[in-house]
Amino acid sequence: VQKSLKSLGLKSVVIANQKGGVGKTTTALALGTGLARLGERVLLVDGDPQGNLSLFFSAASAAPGGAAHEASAPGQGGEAHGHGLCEVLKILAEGNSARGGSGYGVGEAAAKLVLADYLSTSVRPGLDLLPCLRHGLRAELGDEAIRAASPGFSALIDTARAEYDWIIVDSSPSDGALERLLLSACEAVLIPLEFQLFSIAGLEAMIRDVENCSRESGRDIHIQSLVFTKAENKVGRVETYRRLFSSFRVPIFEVCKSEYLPRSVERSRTIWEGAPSSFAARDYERIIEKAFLERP
Amino acid sequence: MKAKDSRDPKIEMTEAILNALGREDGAGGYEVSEAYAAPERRRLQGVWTVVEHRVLGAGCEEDYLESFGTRSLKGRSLRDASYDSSYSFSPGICVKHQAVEGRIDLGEGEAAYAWRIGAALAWEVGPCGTLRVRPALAYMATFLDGAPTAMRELPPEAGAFVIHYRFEGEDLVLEEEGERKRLRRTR
Repeated sequence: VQKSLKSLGLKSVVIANQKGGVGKTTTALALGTGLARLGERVLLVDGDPQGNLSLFFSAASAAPGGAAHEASAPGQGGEAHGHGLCEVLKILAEGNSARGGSGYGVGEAAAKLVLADYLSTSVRPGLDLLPCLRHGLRAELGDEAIRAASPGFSALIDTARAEYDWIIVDSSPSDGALERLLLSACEAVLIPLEFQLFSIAGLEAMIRDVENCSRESGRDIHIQSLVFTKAENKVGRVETYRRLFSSFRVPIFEVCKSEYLPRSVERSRTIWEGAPSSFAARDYERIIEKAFLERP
Repeated sequence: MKAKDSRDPKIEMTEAILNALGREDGAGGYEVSEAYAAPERRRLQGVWTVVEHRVLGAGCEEDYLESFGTRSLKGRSLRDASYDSSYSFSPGICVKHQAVEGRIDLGEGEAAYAWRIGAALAWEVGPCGTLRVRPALAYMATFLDGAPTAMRELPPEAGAFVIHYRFEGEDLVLEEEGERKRLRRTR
């Protein structure tokens, strides 16, 4: 019987797949805002240097009516703090180097300060965002610095567990040092994919990556669910895919292909604000209920 | 269709990937999108009476009631036997009744025999014509001359199981654990 993250005591979840265009950001946005809407305290981490999640919230706060959310800018204090994740990783990498590469011994108080400095708070009621506003994050930091920042970032996420009910991390379609840092920092992974061979082939690589990261970090990273996004009954062989996947060891959810998802984003609204009674919203609602909140 | 799919390299690759990653029948569970489950759920809702109940064996099948004595009464036959079964599907819950009645020869005379099961089943539409069913409450009872002789409640830890369903014209066909039932809507 599938167990929810709450019943497993897991709070930090990365939304990951090396394949692009499978709906990672849409899923992170729907789950993060959906949990906050239910009164849960949520930290969304934009781990994708494309920064689409961050763009959504900055556009949303600039949009008519968006100011109602009264979101604070990252850092609240200056330009230097405006790049969110990139700056945080820089600090963590430097901290690690200063300690001779022995890992970032971030204390709880220091971690709270770092988080407080770089978060956009209350982008929605109950929802904070660690934005990523540097497209060139990888080039700017380099793999070595990202790897050096990894222990500190894990410690930061662990610290945030005390402040939030959920930490939802969006990631980019890649399998580099940044994605491994995000994966290693989280307790669970949720994998969006499509009814397509390329996407399914990517699943194999993704699951191997999770296993490798678990081994290397010494943490058991739990594969919580697969989510078939953009699910359509008319996709060729969809019933065969469903039949094959229904015997898989990991719980699987479908979110139907829905024009309401991109339409809501275009209007700077979440699916809960733009089309709360749509099938897509109901599909995400079910994931929240069963994969996140359900009690044993 | 199945043969065609099994030769399809994409399906073969998918199968190989899933085998490599580890498969456990029904372990994870599969939630079909509400966009596709909701119409099926609506179609299933209502009261259905079982009009045919067959027991499926290896290469053969027999009528449930005709073979009831052999299977459940240690070979004793049931005279003037009758069968009544219905499923009432409402959102999230299905109430199932099944009763077999007749007269049984006990050696020292005949008695009126009745066997009944009643169950409240939580149900959800699954993928590929399946219903995922979890008993919420269920009992099975046997009566001789109206007096209960055996009563069994389903243990609370009873797990979920899968029923395959399909519509054939206006009929609903359910298949589970070597049995096939044809149901007709009464409401």
